[in-house]
Amino acid sequence: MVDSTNVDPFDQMPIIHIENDIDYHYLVEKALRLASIRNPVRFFTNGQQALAYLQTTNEVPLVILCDIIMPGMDGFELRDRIDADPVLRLKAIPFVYFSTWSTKELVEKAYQGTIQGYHLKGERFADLQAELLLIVAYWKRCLHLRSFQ
Amino acid sequence: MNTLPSNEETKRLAALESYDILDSLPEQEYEDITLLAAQICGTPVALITLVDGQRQWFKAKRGLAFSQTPRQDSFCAHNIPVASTPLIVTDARKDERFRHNPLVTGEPNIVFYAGEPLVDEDGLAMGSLCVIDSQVRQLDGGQLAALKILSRQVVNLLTARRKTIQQARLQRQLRASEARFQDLVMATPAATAVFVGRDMIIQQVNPPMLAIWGKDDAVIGNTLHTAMPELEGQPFLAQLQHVFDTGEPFLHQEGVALVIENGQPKQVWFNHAYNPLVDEKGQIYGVINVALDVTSQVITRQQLAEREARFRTIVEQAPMAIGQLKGRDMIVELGNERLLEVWGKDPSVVGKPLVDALPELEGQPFMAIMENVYETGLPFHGTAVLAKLVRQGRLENVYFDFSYSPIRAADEQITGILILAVEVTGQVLARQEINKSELRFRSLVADAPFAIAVYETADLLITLANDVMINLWGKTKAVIGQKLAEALPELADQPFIPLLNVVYATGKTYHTAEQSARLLIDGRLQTRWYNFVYQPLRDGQGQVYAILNMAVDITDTYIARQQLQLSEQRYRDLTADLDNRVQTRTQELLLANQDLQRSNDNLQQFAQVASHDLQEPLRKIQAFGDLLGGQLADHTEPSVGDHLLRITNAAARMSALIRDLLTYSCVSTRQQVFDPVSLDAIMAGVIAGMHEVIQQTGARITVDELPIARGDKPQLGLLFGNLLDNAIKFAEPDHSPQIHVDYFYRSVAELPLDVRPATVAPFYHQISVTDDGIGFDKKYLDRIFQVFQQLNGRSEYAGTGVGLSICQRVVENHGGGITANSRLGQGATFCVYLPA
Repeated sequence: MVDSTNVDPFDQMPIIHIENDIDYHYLVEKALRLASIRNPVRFFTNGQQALAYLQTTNEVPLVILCDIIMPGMDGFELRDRIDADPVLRLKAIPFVYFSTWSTKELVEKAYQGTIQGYHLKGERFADLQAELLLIVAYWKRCLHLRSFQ
Repeated sequence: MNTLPSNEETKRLAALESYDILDSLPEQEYEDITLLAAQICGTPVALITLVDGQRQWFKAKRGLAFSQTPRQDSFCAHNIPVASTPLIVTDARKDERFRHNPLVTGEPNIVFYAGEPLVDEDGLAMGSLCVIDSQVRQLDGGQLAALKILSRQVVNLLTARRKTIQQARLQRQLRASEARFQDLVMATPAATAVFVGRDMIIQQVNPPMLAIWGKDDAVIGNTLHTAMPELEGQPFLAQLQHVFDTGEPFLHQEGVALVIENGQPKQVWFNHAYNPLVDEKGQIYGVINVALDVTSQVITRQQLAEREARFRTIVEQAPMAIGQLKGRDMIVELGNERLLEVWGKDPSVVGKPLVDALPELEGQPFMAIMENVYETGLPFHGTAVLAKLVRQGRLENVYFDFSYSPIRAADEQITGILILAVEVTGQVLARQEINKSELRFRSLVADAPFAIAVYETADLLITLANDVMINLWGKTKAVIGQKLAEALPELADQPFIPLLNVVYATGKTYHTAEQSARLLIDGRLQTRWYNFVYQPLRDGQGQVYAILNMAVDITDTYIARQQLQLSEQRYRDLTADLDNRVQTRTQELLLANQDLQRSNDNLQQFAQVASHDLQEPLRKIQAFGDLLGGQLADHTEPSVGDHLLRITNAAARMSALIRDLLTYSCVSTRQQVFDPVSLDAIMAGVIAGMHEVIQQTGARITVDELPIARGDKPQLGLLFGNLLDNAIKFAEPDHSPQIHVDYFYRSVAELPLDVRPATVAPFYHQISVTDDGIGFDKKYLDRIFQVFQQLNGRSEYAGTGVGLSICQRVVENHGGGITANSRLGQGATFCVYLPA
């Protein structure tokens, strides 16, 4: 189905989705595929798993979508661990919070770390999909270190 | 005629006297002449006769034994009135003038006489040269001529003699004068020296001058320069020579010189006068120097000046005002600083008449007093006299102790007035103040509403007691002047007299309150209670001289208070009990508060859970419903799509309800302290947030200018948002809503009866939101603000029924009130009242 000779390298970069509610793994995958976005999605249910993957993989992720409130290592801690890792820090993978929930206090705390966005999943499926397409489109367009590799 | 007029004769006799020849010894020159005359004329007798007042005396006589005869017998006297021809008598026996003359009738028996008069250079005849014979004779021309020549020769001799005499006399006078001058120089007590010649040769110097010079008389004959080489470099020699050269006298006043006297150096002062000495030809030949030792005068004057200066200093520095007025015009001659200060004038008044210096004295008695002192010479003393003086441009009342004394000159004549004055304004005012305060004190004592008495001396004599005190004692005014112990004998066994003695002795004030005393009042010994003070009174030296006693009868209050104290004790017991109960209650409240806090925290946590965890499944229901809807879009069974829609709608409603309930529960029920916020800005923000729905519905909203009010921005946003949302939502179908937001400033009296604001304020902001929608029936007014109350079927008008409850809660939180007004189908007005 896919014309392998005409593949945009940005379409092959994995999207990292960290979310403890696996229903959302399904919904996010569904929303991307229904919109014909072919990037692979790497799902993790907590920060610990995601960090282990990021520290070992050779893949160049397009963007990290991360929930905030999770059992185990939550979004804030993951963010700080990535920042504290010199190799990961140098990779400068776009880090975006993707949550159902926002309060002034949470947003304030989120932006104390180095992040590239705070997006809400929305009420309805259409809202979720619109938000995702916006993020992916943005990071495909946005210039980045990997644009020069 | 042998006599002359008496004045001529006097002159002639004086002339004769001037020759100093009468009774002189015979002289050869005169003898020779008579010899010649006798021989030439051939007579035995030749005489030179000089006619004196009473006699004729012969300076030379040839051939005659006697040397004089009385004048009346004299032939020669007939020659005195000068005639042009000599007297020749040929025969005297036959001449009527001489025939009875004793010289004719007796010895020498004169017959013939020829006399040539001796006329001197002034034309006066002194006598004659005559020849005499005792027989008749005739003289020829030659003999007469010779006699004339010889007589002239006699006159020459006389003239020469007189010159010699005069010269000798002049010489004598000169010598005497010089001697006198020298004696004068030597005898004068003034130091004197005479210098002659331009080199100033010391001709004469007296002992005082030698003493000044410090020399002895060996200097005489030397030049001043040689005698006193120490004058080199000093001006004296030059000054002397200047006098010598010009003839101008020179006076050197009070020249000072340092001399050694008895081995001690000493300053001396001299007045030196240099005067030229002029000889008879008017030539200056020397200089006389007279020096007057004025040391004692100078010292006296210096002492005088010193004394005067000292006196002036004393006057200047005297603490009292001192001034001196001169003359009848009272000219200010002297005034020390203090006087000028007292007068309030500057030194320019010195030299002016007092009337001009102090014009303000006009109409005051001082000028008249001074004139009287001047007239009578009686000094005047005034004590604490008021004077009005202009000082610093202001007329001031000033008091003085002063004296005016006459100043007398040496001859006892009054020449002025000496003013001595001490300003005593302070003392006088202080005394007046003391008198006033004494008066005040006395009236204070008399009028005081409490008892006052003063006991003087250690005997405690009652010198003052007001009516209150006398009443308190139960006595009469007769007690004043008595000793306290005698006036109130009932005090004998009570502590008061000893207390007073202690106060008098120690000078320490004694206070006491609620002291009981037993006093004999109305003939009955009564016990009453007093607050009183024994205060020592001190004199100027700080010595206690009296005791002031102030007392208040507090018997009634004392008894009342005794009762009060009892009731107070009861009250205190009750209060303590109440306190205990309050404490218990407070403890309970504290616990309840903690419970409430816990419950609030729980609620907060519940809200978190509700908003996050309860929303989550609803989201998924909707999301999967949406997915399913997409998949079943082409399903043949039409009810499938409908069922799915109902499921997702129910989930959406549930989600909205949870959101609104959360909002409602989050609007705090506590009243807070708010900051001023702009209602305009909040309203504008709300309308901007609603632009989508406004566009969809075509709503038109007009808003009045809104005020600044105290409030919470988010809560007021909710309030306005819900009101506007309702106004848009409850529109007639297919009708674009017209909404007005109006503002009014209302006093509390203007509020509708059904509005009961949470806080009572004098003024309120009224914000009304009026729509033209469906309205509601007024009977439901009390229901619309309750939670979940919906008057409309939810299918037509979407809502959760929480909006107006939120509005009411926000308004109550702000201390305001809310009400609504509507008729079904006539639109609705919601009025919010917030305290201004």
